[in-house]
Amino acid sequence: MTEATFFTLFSLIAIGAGTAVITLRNPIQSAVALVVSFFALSAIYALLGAHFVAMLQVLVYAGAIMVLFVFVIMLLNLREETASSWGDLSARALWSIVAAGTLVGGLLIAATSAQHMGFPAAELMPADYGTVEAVGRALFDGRWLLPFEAVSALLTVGVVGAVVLAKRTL
Amino acid sequence: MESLLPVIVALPLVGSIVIALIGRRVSREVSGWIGTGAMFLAAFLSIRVLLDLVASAAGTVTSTTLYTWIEVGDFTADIGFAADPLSAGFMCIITGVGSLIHMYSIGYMSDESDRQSVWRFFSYLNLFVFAMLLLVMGDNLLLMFVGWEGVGLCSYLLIGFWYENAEFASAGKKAFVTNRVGDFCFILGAFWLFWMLGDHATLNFQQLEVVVHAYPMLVPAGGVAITSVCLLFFGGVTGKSAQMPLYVWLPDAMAGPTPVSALIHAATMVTAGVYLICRLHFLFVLSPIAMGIVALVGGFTAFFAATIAVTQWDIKKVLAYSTVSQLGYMVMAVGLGHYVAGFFHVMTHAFFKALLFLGAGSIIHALHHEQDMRNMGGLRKYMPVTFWTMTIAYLAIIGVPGLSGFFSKDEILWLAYSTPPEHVALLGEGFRIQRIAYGLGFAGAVLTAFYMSRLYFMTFFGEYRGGHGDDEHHAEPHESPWLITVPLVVLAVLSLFGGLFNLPHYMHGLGLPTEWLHHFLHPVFHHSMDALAFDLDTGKEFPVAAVTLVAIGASVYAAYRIYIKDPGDAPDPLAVEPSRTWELSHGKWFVDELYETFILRPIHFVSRQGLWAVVDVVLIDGTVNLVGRTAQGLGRHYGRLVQSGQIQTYALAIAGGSVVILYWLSVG
Amino acid sequence: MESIGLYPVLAVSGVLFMLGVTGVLTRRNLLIVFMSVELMLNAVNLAFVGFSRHSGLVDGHVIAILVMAVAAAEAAVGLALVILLYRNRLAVQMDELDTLKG
Repeated sequence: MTEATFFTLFSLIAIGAGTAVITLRNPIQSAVALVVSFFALSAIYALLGAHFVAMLQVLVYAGAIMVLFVFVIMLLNLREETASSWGDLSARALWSIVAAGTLVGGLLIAATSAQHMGFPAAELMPADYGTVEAVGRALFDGRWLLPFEAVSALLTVGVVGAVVLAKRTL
Repeated sequence: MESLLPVIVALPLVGSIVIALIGRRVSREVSGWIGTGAMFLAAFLSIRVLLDLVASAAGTVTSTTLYTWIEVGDFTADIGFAADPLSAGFMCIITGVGSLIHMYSIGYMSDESDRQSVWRFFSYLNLFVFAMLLLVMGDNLLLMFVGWEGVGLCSYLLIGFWYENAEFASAGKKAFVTNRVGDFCFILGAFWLFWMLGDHATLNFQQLEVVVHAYPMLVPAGGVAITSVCLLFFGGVTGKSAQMPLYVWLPDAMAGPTPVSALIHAATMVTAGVYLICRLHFLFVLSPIAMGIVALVGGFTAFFAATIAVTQWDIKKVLAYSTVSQLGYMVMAVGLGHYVAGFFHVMTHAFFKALLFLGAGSIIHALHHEQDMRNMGGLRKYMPVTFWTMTIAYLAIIGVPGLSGFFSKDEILWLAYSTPPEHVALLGEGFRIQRIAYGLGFAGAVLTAFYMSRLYFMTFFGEYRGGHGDDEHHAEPHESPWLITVPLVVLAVLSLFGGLFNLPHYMHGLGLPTEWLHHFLHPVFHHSMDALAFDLDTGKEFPVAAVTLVAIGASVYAAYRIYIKDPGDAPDPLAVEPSRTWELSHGKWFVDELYETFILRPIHFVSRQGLWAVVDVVLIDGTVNLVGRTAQGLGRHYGRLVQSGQIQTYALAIAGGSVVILYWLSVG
Repeated sequence: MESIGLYPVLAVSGVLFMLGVTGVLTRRNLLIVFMSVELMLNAVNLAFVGFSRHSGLVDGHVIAILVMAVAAAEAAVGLALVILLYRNRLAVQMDELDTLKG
């Protein structure tokens, strides 16, 4: 099976899971669907040669962020949403149409433009494309040092902020 | 010499500011002497300037420009001062008489109740002199107008000095508002004149005279334009110099302290109108109609005011109407083109009228603010200095030969009688305006003699009708302190010998200089004198004076008969069974009431019911309120839709907006 | 079919993004809204990685990693806020959170 077949497969899984996220009633079900979507995306990243990002996707998104989500859902003991959230708002209905349209349109484009804008052949990619060394070099040696440090500061702030917010008493 | 001019102007201004700054913390005598000192210094310098002008060649004008005030295109107006003989004369009168009055005020304003506020009085007085000096020394119409307004302002401040009394404050307002009407006419006249001159427009007096003579086609003689300009300026004169119809503020202005009445409303501010006409003589001679109107109004006012003075009981009111009347003489004189005679009367009037007011003030002060003549009498026993000085003033004003008033008033009457009609042709040359003016002036002189004698007799002769020591406020009257009596004496001397400045022609052989003022002021007015080309018959001067004298004598005798010979019990015998005429005269011919009904009330009505109720409340407020209510309504109605509180609605709006932008960016 | 093209990748990314937006605007449960936001972020990540593959530079990967870090921080703080909200109002339904209503 070629790359394209795998790509199509995983794309469908991702899109299907995404639809499930926004459609299902039960928040736990939505969370699980989202995890599935993340896994599918990770596979797509690997197909595109972004191995490091693929691993991080699983570790960070599926492994940490979604755990947090599930944890909070369980903590708050959320129930199913009542049924009236979909039908009565025309703006939202409009958006649904837009979404569906884009869905269909996107699939059509995907189907018809496979022969155009093809990626360069894998041999033409740099040897270490997508590896940890390449990304690491860009992060630390290249021009992404400052954003990297800034984001780490951001993470610190986020941690502290979350703790401060959620504590009952300081 | 030029550098002295700004100093003279600045001295009273500095005095005013210094007193204003330190007045609260020093005694009132200190404030008074600062003000008086500034005045004496200014007087000394003014006399020096005058002597300089006398000594130097005829026609010189010393002038100096401090800096350029306005410069727009071709037009400039400077802060500059010029002293020609006319200005110098006025300067000396203002500072000389002014300094005496300042000194007098130190003694006069000695009431305990005024202790905290007397510094304000001296500050205002000095400020007034500053404004008056600006008026007479300014070298252009604009600067003069600053002084013109300034004296009006200070007049308001000083009339309403005891502002806690609502009536006095009203009098101040009345003076200011009435003057304002006159000022409006002044301004219109100045604008029109400026506009008439087109490319050569200027407001500087010297340049104006040059332009008017060099370009006579711009100001066509006898034309509607120049007549209107002159009449508009005359409107300002009627306000400032209290002529018909704007004289009504002057009697009310007696609410102010007596030194104020003496300085402002006798000697200086009210003569500003006469000064204006003298300054603009070259304009007035171009319009016989205007001159005729000026002369008639002056003459009529002289007569009219005298008729009111005959029946008043308040001593200051009598003197106020007397001032209006005498101003009428001055205005009449300059209206007929006799500028020197007008100035001469300004000068002598300053002397004897200031003396009369100050003397009245001395009496009022001694009697603890009693002003009703019916409660006076026999004061010559108690206040000798005041009596003798007032006697001199009385003789001067009625025109007893030898004193200053005789020479100035009789010169005016003779000139009115003998002016040829060509240049004062109001209603055609056959109609002899000046004879009418003379008649009014003559009748006025007769009445003047009567009411002044009445004042003199009621106040100083007979029995004292006031309280006699029953309480502290009605102790027996006594002579006033030296601060008050010394100025009285000085002014008496001036009233006595002031005639020497301009002895009439028929006294030629006596070895004294005759018509000195004529020669002194000739360079100022010679253009107009040549234009008017009077060829006066000096032979008539003596007979006219003689006729006047006889009439005055009769008038004095009549007053003597009524008030001294057979007075009866009542203090004012004329008032016992008042005739219709008496009532009208006593009620000031109800002019104030007329103005109230026909002018003020309609204006009030229009303002309140029309402008306020309709335009302000309905239109303006309504519009503003409508806008406010609309905004509120819109917000309340449509705001609900937008601000639902639902975050997802807001997010939808953001998403929609970003789609539009993306579309616009990509498709273009 | 042979290798993948750029357009299909972008198409998938677009679809996922649209799904995320619909979820944000439509669902009443706050947590599901958060999850939809994560879906949008992932869609963007996919686009970056696709472009990176197209150009041969690893910058897209780096950006994707940074986005992931930011998403993590945002999730942490956001969920803390959700907990606070739940504590104070006992509700995480969007239509009950309307205190901005004016």
